[in-house]
Amino acid sequence: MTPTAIADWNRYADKHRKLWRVVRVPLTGAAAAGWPIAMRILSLLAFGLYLGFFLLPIAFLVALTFKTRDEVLLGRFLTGKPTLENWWKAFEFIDLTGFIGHSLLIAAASAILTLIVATPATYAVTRLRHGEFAGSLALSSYIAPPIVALLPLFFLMRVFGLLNSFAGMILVYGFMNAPVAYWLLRGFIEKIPAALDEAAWIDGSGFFNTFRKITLPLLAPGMVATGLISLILSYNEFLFASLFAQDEAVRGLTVAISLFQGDRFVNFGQMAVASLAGILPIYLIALLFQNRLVGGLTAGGVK
Amino acid sequence: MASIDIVDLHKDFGGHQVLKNLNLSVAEGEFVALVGPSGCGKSTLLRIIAGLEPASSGLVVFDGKPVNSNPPQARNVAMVFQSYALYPHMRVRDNLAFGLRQRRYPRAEVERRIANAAKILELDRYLDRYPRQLSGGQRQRVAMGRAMVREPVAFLLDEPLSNLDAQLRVSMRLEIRGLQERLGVTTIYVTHDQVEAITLADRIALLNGGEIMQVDSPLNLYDRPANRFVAGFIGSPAMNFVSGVRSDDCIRIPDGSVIPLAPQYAHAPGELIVGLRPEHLSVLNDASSGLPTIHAVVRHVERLGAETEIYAEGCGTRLCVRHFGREVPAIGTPVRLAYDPGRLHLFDRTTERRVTERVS
Repeated sequence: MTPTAIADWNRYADKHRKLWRVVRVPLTGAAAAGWPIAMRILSLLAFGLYLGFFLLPIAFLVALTFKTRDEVLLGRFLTGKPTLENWWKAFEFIDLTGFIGHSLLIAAASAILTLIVATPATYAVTRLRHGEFAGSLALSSYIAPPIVALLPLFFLMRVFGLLNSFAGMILVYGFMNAPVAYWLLRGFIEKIPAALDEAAWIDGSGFFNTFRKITLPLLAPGMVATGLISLILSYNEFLFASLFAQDEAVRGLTVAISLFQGDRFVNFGQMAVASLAGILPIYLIALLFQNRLVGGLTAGGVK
Repeated sequence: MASIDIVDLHKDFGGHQVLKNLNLSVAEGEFVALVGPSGCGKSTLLRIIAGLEPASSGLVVFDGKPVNSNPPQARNVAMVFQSYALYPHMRVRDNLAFGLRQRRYPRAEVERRIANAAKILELDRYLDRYPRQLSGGQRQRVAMGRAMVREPVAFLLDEPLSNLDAQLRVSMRLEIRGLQERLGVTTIYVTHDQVEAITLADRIALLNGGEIMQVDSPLNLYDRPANRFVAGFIGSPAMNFVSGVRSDDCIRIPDGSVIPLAPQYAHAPGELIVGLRPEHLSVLNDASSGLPTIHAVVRHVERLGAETEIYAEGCGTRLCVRHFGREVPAIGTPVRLAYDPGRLHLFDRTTERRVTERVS
């Protein structure tokens, strides 16, 4: 590529940054570095392999949706006679949109609950230096395998009549993700200079008022990132949902996908359709907020 | 306005003593500078006075009443932070108003005070801007304004000028002094810059290693430093120190020459440190001045325009001479440095304390 062409490309890529960022680096980055042709081709190949590694499962899923039941069992990637049968059947036989809606509702509400619980708690631990021990304890609870909590939670929820209810799922996920949110928010709070809080205290503002008027507005981007990550974690959760939300009225997507089986066989094609439909909203969210998400994932680790 | 007393104050950070047995009285309306090298505890002391940091033991007293148990909100002090700590999501107007609104001042009063402060600090045009849209000097003014509007019992300033460039620092220094004189508010000013402290403060408290070395007026600190540390810290370039041993009415220094000892130092101990300020040494051209001299060899010359700093080797150490003039001896030339015996400072080598003159 000539320098002008590279400049044009970069301008174009900047304009469509999100989509092209992945392509731009191996193409123009290598050219700009003055790599020989062979190196450039090699780097493109490596990039193609890398991309393929991540896209193959999705491509396989897409291919599955066009196959008949018998063809699926043959194990071929492409089909000789594609069919759309899976697509209409998947939506007709089960209330797929309804289940996705349930999942989104539970995930969104639980993410809000997580933020309500975790934000003041994280502030108190990191900024006011109260209950630092509790902070570490909350994190350690996240290390244990979730299945350990399955039975106690089941009985607890049965006692309170929360099984198969939105409220129950929202509570479980809302509290379950609080340690993760604590971990993420800590990084964001540490980025806000402590002198701002101190200036507000000296200005006569109480501790809670300072949190509300000074910290919360500055923490908003971090809270969006943390909320999104909590939402994705809840949306993808299967273990608790499979036991606590079996009823159709509250059933979410992950459980619905697992139930695509007849008496003697599994409906892989329809399952693939449901899976594709199910990942669509969460992928859209991730794409729209990718900058925020990356910020959220690195906030805890990088200071 | 209030007087502030610090009584027997100690501060530990995880077993490490940051402040040791500190006592300091600041009179109502007085401007006191806390000066010292970094890590000497001056900022910690200011934060303890503000209530941002608890004292390990000892008292902080405002107007005769201990305030140790009061949180920062209840102390009614105003503080200017080194980083200014302006609320980034609020306009200048709201930054200034925040403290007043917290104390539930009527709206008209808030407006009046903001307008007044903005006029004094020439911030009128910037009231609707956000802090990020201001220059360093303007941000500094907003931080000062936030302290001003409140009518606090005291101003606490934590290195407020250290983020400004040299020129702006000088002009803001004058403004701060003018403002303090006009408002008459008790002010404690932390800085590591001795020039700031000397030009601004009524009195300076010099700290080192968590202890107060000396509290006095700037000129007394310069003229009569209480110990070797104060002598070396105040004054630029720093004071020259020569160790010597007393023999009768003179001090014998390492190169074998002697410095005569004035009769008011008759009680001086055997092991001494002699302090000579660079501005009190002069390069002798002819032998006719009548002042005692020491021998030295010129090693290095720094020309600063108005003055020239000559570094010479003599008395077993490196001596700095502040020379007002452009004609200086070449490097490597042996010179005689004249000094006025009345301007010597003497320190006990073991305690490093000043040997005071006795009038008999």
